[in-house]
Amino acid sequence: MRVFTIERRIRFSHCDPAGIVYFVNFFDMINAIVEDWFDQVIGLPFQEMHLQRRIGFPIVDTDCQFFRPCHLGDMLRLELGISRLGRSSIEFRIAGRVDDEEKLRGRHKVALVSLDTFRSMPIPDDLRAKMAPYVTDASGDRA
Amino acid sequence: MNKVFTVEYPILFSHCDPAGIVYFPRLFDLLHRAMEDWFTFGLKERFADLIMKKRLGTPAVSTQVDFVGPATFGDTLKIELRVARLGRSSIELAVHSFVEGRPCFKAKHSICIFSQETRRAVPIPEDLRSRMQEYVADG
Repeated sequence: MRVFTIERRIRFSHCDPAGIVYFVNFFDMINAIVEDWFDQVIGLPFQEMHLQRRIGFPIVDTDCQFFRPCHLGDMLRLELGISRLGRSSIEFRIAGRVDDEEKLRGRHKVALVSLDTFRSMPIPDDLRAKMAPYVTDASGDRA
Repeated sequence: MNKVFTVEYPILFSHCDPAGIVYFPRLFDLLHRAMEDWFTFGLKERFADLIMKKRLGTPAVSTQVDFVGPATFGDTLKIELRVARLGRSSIELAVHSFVEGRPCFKAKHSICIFSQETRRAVPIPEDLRSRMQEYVADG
């Protein structure tokens, strides 16, 4: 099982007047790791997905636990795996760490739709084959 | 008792993505805005004072959101906020949103009251707790 990883430096613009990362910015980072994974692993950059193929993966539901705050200057390491690959849906498992401290854990489910009809579509086999190595063991605890 | 705090916000150009619908983190931003307005106008506790003068914070502990229907540029998003659970320092908000009566997202958003000085969760101040109690939903 593979895990896709990105790192994000916590910038001034991510933080709020209480001095910690404003939680909404974590969802932007979750979107970023999904976008980078589609580009670098699946070979389907978002511009091609949305603008040329006219398909998209809107969010079905998302669930994130925030264990400890993140601060300006932290280097946040985000990891992505797939907890479930459905007919048209992908349930991602996301983890965020700074050094050895777990900061957040998320479950983020998206589904393939046509941008013209907004109806769900099955994930094409060529894309599914590239996604399969990222599916975590069924025995793994769900985020 | 059983109060519901309701607000309406316009969906702006800047909320939307190239697929033409609201980019989902902006909905969380609107959820947070509804929470800020709840503090200021519902609980009569100016949110800016809570942060800047009382040096407290309301960090997110967990957020769970179901996206039921899209919202697009030009829509008006109606947000309803209730308290699902009131803990010692934690508050679980139940947030429902609608576009012209159609459900958009529904969320369970848990926050805690946090001291910026000690960087730890602190009990909800009693006066605030009693005003929050009015928004606790039955069942």
